[in-house]
Amino acid sequence: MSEIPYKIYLEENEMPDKWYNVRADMKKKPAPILNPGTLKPVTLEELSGIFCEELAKQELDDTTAYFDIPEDIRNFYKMYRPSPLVRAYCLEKKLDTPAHIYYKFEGNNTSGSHKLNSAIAQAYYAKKQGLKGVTTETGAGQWGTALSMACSYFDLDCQVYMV
Amino acid sequence: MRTYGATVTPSPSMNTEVGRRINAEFPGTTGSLGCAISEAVEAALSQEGYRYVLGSVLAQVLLHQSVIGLETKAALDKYGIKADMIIGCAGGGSNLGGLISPFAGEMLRGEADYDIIAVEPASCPSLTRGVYAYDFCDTGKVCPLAKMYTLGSSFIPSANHAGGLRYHGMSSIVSELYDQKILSARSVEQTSVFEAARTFARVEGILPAPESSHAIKVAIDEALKCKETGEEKNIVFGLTGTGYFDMVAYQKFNDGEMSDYIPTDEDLRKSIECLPKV
Ligand SMILES: Cc1ncc(COP(=O)(O)O)c(C=O)c1O
Repeated sequence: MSEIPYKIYLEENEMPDKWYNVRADMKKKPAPILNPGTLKPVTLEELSGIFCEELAKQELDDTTAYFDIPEDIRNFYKMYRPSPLVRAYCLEKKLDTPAHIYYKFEGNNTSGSHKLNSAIAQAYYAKKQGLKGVTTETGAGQWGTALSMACSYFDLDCQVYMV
Repeated sequence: MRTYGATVTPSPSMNTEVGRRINAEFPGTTGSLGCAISEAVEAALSQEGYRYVLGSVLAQVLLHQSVIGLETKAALDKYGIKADMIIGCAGGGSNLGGLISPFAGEMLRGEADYDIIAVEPASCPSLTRGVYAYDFCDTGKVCPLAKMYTLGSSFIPSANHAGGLRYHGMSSIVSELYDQKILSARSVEQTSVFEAARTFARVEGILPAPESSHAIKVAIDEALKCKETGEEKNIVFGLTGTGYFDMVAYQKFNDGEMSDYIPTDEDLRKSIECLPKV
């Protein structure tokens, strides 16, 4: 086996072109989400009132294993992905452990977190549906920042409620 | 956020009905994510051409985050590395769910086995001390109900806890995988999390987000166990982000002013009693 580098980087062309939906492989599926008024499983139509339609479809689909990542999103991902898988040699040495420690570092983008991965997807589908804007909440600010950036990329209005 | 053209409103605000109601019921409240979600949903529903978007918890978000796990698996495979443990922090469950998805898939298909650990704060212990039941995703009860491990949507976590793991519930996918014992969960106290963050920052040169540091804490604990047993385990964890949004928390830690608030059984009983009857 070749020596393992401090950082394992994939090539851009090794970046996944599909998202994986683990529900497809679950024999017992997560319970369906319910309409708070009727307490019946939410229908696509009801859910499309809150979320954009493509996202509502993804939300309710527990059988399709792979979803193509649209090309616009893949191109956006290339700004900061693939993200490195780091071998924590320095931490291992500090701890004096025989264990091999690896971490997947998602902080190398303006939102400082993994949140941009979903923000750009949600902004993309909102734009595709011809919406004017989106609203959301944020805690420390990573998600709010991720969504703000994604919205400005697709020229959408973004309103954030911050705890 | 404003640099990118967004408008930012502190929650609970007086802009929405939910916000006004929560301010009236709990004057001076520091709010919660659940409450901010309700405000954002109301704002979306009351404006033409707007939709609500959520950064965690939902199945669609886990789906998008699966890019983390797919890349991780591709990188490991490239060097013929077989992970023994996979560790992630869990707030609403999106990074954890995304990181573990391909590995959990292998387990579900009976192709491989991993020790998957979700790490949550002791101050907001949805998996380790919550109940598996239908609950509202938000304090204002406008979103769909999801079956998940929850502390009750009226649970307002201690304000002294830093960052994004202060959510009462958990992704229904992560919850179901936990229930099926595909993954296990651990809760850790905030001060020990920041100690782990400091150790990590000093040798790896990255200031980790407090959320991510929950995973660091357990990764270090496990690596130290290996030191005792001499095992050469491959430990993989998700470093979800950097800590520059949480300088106030780091300041508190360095000033020795950080505390660990763990809710009592009585605290939890109160909010769990308010679960909807489904
Ligand atoms: C850096 C970072 N890690 C983790 C989380 C936790 O969210 P999730 O459990 O959805 O991954 C957040 C979100 O608030 C975050 O900003």
